[in-house]
Amino acid sequence: MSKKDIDIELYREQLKQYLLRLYPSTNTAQLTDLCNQFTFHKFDKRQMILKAGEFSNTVYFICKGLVRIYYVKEDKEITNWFIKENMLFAATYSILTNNNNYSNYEALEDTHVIKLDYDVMESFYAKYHSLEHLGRKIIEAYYGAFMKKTFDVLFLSAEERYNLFAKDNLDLLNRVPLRFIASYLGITQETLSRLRSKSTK
Amino acid sequence: MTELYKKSLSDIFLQFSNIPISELEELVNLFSLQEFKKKSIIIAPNNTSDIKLFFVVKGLIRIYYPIGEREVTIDFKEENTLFANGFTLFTNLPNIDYYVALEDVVCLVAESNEIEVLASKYHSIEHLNRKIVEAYYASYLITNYNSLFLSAEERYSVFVRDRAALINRLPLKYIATYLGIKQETLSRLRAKKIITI
Repeated sequence: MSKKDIDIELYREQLKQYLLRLYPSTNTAQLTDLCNQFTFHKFDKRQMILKAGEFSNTVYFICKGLVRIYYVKEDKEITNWFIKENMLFAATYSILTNNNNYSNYEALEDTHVIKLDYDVMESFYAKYHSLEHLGRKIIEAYYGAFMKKTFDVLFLSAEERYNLFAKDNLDLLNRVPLRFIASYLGITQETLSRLRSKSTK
Repeated sequence: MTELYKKSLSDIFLQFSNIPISELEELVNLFSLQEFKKKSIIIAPNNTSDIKLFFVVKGLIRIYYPIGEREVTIDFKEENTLFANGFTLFTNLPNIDYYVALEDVVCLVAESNEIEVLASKYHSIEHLNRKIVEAYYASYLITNYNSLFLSAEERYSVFVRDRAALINRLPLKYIATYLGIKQETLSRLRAKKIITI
């Protein structure tokens, strides 16, 4: 058995555990069946996973590594999300609206993913009631997170947004170039540096 | 009358997914009629318990939140559309938005947790549920895309194209806060439209 074969079984198990933590009532045999459809892929640091203007209906689970999602507006890069290990990502806009996607997905570290096309996932939703429930809960969680982020930008101060980010993503402060974090928080790099030194005092 | 309304609701559900009739009936029977006078608040901020799904039979609703002195309109809901406090439903956090009747409103209303019970009982209802959540997320993503990449003029054109019937039912100030532009800009765009057509 090659090293890669060993990895994928572990990675599928990692996905299964992640989904079971989110929705413990999911039927494990059905979940195993779904996770076994996922295939391995590796992206090098700085490699583009998906570019704006492309269509994609693939769902990715990060086993190890880090991805930045950003869009370009008036020649400026705006960072939308960081996705790290034990998180899912997809070009949701493409999948749900059937349009080409407008964001860029870039590996910030060497990244190991397992992936599956959304229509294959949907065929498992059709087959198993418990997976269809799981599928809806995943969509609801991402929909909710998107709405929350929109409100946070409007109603929280730069400092509150920084503290919220640091609470959940202390590791990212050392893994991500500060200019990307500043862009994500909608603040200048100088403000970010000031907030960082303030919070470590 | 209620039976007629329930038929419209069934037709909407069937557009999302082909559900067996008996299961569809069970779902639709969870709904009961509720009336709201013009200007009344249908859902207020901090509506954390008792989440409901509304189907608009008659009337028009504005969803908005205040931010400082301003108001941002998130959406309008007219006849044959569904709405719910999705933010709280999906995040378990208190919502900040108001759902207000702009006209006298009649809705069919069901408890969200009763729908949830039915969704765990019947795969077909769970499937419908997923399709509805996906459709609403899709429209949220499109609105977000439009606000990021379209000009005020383009956003206005999209609104005229997709929501033509609403234009004469809505005060201009609400359309302006929906499009994220000043009322003067909106008036200018409307005048321009008349000249060019």
